[in-house]
Amino acid sequence: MNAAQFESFVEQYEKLVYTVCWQLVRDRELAQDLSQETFLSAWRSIERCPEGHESQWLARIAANKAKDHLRSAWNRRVSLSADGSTPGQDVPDTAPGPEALLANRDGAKEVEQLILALREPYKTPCTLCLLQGKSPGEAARLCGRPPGTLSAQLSRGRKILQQQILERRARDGTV
Amino acid sequence: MELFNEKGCLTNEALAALQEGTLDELARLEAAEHLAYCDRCMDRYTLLLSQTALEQPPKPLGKAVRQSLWVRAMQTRLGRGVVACAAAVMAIGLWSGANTLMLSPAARALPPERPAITAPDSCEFLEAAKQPRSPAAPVRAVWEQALQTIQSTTGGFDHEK
Repeated sequence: MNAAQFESFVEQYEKLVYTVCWQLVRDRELAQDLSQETFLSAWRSIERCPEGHESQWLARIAANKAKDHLRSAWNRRVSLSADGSTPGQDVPDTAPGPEALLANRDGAKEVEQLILALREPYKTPCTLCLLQGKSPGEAARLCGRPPGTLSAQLSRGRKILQQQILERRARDGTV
Repeated sequence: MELFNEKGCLTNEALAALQEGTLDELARLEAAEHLAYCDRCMDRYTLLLSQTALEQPPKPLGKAVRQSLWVRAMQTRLGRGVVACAAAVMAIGLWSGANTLMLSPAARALPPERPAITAPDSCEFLEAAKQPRSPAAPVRAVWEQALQTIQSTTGGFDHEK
């Protein structure tokens, strides 16, 4: 595909790519930038575009761009803010982690219940890694998720568990 | 609202909420992570998008993408050009420096005779070293003698004939 053909390709799919970015980030300017990044990435690997599935292929790249942005924005917010408005944001570093509680007999049952009650996409990574002792790489292979995604979900799941443990302790008056 | 079903895929409600814009930031992050690797959900999502009116980007993307591609190509070429220029300048600098050292008359001349090193008078223990020795023939003298010998035996160098 030459530059002129790629330009008409961009014109054909720009609405689709922009809509995917817009629906995921909900910011017009950012969606415009991510759409542009999507097409630049697409140009670099245009030979890998499956014929007849161009829209899915482009939407996948756009979702990846949006995911990268949302994940870094979320991590920044979690590390900087401590207002507790989002799960895991107000968990102090000294709070007992799920692994520490799993190690003692009293806490193990409680944490197991909390893990099994987690919602997806956190339940599977936490069950595989925290309860079954699988490594993140092995867990990623077992549940068919990219290793980076599984690690990020495991990290957020751990934070959610930590917060639930703290809330339960506060309710029981044990902290 | 359940975002994911028991198999870990996005529910129909989640996809509808994504389109309507009613998901919070964490839910949108979770949806983006899932859509980035799940073929089935991506097919469902693009099918839904094909049935609805798509958003128009504020500025056409074609021109912006073309400009970005051009800028990146120029940066790459410019970067290579700068490296090539720097290498050429260094090579020329080294070459001319070497020429100055190797070809200058001062460099081509025979090395000057070194002054004799004498021990200071106050050093008694070096008295022995001050005893006259058979002086080594200076290099220049040896060279001139060799030249004279060659000229006398061969009648001079060929190119001088």
